[in-house]
Amino acid sequence: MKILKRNIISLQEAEKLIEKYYEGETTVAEEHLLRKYLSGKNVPAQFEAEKAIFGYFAGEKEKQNVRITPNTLKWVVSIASAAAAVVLFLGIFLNTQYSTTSYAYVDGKKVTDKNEIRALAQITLENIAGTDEVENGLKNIESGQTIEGQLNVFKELEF
Amino acid sequence: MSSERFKKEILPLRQQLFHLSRKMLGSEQDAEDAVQESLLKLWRVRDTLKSYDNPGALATTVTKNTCLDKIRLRKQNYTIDEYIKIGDKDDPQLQLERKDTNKLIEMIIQTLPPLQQQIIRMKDVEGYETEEIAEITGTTVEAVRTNLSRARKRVREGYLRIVRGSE
Repeated sequence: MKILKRNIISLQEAEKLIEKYYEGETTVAEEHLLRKYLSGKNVPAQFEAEKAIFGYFAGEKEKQNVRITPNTLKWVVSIASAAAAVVLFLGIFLNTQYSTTSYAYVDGKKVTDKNEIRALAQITLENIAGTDEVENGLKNIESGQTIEGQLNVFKELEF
Repeated sequence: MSSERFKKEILPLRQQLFHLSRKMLGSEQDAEDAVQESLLKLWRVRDTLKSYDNPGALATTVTKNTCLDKIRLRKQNYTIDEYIKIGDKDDPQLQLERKDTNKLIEMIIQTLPPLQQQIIRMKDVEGYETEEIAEITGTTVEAVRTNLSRARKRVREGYLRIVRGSE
């Protein structure tokens, strides 16, 4: 159609299209032309109702923004899948990185060698096991000394 | 659910949904409207339909609810005339609403029969072609065109009556 190519319509063309519009016979492209015409300056007073109606629909269109067609949806899904794949890859990659760089601080020095860490940990454990600190603590609890000692604090208080 | 799957799985239920609606509403015209409305509602949620084990059961529920809404609406048939009557000169809130053209059009659209509301929105807001709406609702282009034409004319008449009436 000629007017669709021109993108601007005259008063007579607008009248014809509006008539077609009320018969439910306009295409989406023709309605677009009408919308453009009616949102312009100097719209004749005879189109008062149409200006209001098309103005309302234009606002509603803006609110709804983009109509989600199956194609748009497919596109969104592809992007989301790609993003998920990247996240998954990075997750695995970083996780692997962490596991290969296990380390421990010994006397403020970073040690990354696994065997060295194991040996040092063993020594620390032996040191703890060698003392009778834990054993004495347990004996105190068993004999009730710890509890009695703590209760003594309240003895001086009068209730 | 793709539009092809919708047409393949939901549209064949049309006749069954029509019988159900006719039983509930007693009128063939109302039943036809209820079926078209229900199909349009289902079309809007078509992407979630695949998560239902039985989309047919969902279609039946949606149709039942649409019919119940219609029965309720019959009792409180809200027309443009009533809207004009309600718009009493003493009510400043309503007078203010009338000055807001968009709100006014919105209110008029709400007084249309539900099927006409859905069709006018799909065509004038969502940008569907009449042929597409006919395909989704399993009806003829002519039937959609008639409803669309009625809806648009009623919005225009309603608008002019209210605007000119309150001048």
